[in-house]
Amino acid sequence: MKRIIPIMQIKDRLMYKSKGYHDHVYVGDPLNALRIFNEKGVDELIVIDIGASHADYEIDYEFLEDLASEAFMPLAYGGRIRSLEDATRVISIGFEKVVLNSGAFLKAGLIESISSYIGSQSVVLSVDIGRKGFFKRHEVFHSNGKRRVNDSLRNLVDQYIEKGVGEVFFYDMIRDGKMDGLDPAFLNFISGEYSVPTIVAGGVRDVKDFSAAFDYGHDAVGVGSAFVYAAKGQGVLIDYFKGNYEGM
Amino acid sequence: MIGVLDYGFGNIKSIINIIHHVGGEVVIVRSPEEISAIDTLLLPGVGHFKKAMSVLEEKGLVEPIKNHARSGKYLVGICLGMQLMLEFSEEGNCEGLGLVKGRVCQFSQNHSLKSINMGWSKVVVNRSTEITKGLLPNSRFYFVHKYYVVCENEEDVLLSSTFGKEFTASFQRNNLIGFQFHPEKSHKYGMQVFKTLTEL
Repeated sequence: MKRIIPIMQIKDRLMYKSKGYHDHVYVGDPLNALRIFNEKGVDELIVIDIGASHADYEIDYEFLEDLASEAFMPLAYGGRIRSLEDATRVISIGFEKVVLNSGAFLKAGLIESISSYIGSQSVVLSVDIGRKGFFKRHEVFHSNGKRRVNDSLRNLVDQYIEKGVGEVFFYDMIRDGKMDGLDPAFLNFISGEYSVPTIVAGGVRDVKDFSAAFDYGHDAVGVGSAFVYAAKGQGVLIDYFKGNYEGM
Repeated sequence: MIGVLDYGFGNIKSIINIIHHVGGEVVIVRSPEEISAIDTLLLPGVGHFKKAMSVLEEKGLVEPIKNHARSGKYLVGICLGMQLMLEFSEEGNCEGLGLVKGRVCQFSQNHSLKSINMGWSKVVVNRSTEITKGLLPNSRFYFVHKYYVVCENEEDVLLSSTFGKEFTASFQRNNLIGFQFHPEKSHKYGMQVFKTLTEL
């Protein structure tokens, strides 16, 4: 069954929505949003701590426990996971999966050590896609979109699956927060046959984006703004819809 | 009284939460003494089979779990916990608790392009027992696993699901029960499973 997954961005125990990857707009109380998503029976929920890029940051386990205690759906957490202990503690609190971005790229052996303990099915690699250079070619970035990866996407993903990644999350940094729909050029850039499940996100607006993503063979779609705002340019409204994929 | 085993593998908090949510009582057990004091033992698990078995051995929990199983009291394994109850797993080429005949195998290309079954699936009831009677119609559950159980005895298979091909989603052999999916994360369908467990 295909999955439609709300992405919840938190910072200092508040809920935010990013736009253009770097701007953060306050949208409400995370616990409240989680309760609503719970009631609506969402497939999964991804919680990303976007405050985690500050140097002194520590994972807010206490808050994550509060969130997990209200959730009867699968949860994934990403934000400053830098060690096996971080990962196992997040799992024990009530999360099914951990999402790694910077940690995976900056810390040699991290993916291997985490997946050999909690299993690769619980390890998600977050891959940020942006554009660079005169020709505005698609490239892979990490560490809050600041560092560019010097390798082809295919090589990179295959390498990380080998290390023990069990799911890949492709994020379009350019369309982030815009609700303009998934970019066909982005979908093209990341297309391929992957031996692990894949999620795509960045700019999702409506069910047409779900179809586009699934036509490319992806297993899940991550949705930020479209589940947080009533419509583009309108106020906050926590919602969830699956369109034709209800019960599928 | 339900006891959930805390041996360092798995999200016991979620299990505790959902049992409370359906109005049941549950305690965390960590030692042989605590295990012998409860009626139904839940064996959770998210992680590597071989690592989990070595931790159970280190903590001296293997015999207490086997004794609990032999006593006729319910032993319910969830995800990795279910797999540990089998004889052998390809994950680490390791022996399990051997309480239920069969082995744990890895999903191969014969099943699906993807090496991991991740997502919601419906289940088919193979046999009707006190466990299946309570299931909501059209129940679907959340699965996230790379390895799957193959029961030696067909009659032990309680629920089946499909990932490319059919596989065992749940087994029951008398008091020994296993769920490959995560009932604690399967919304109302999972709540119903725990409601049934609290009423055993």
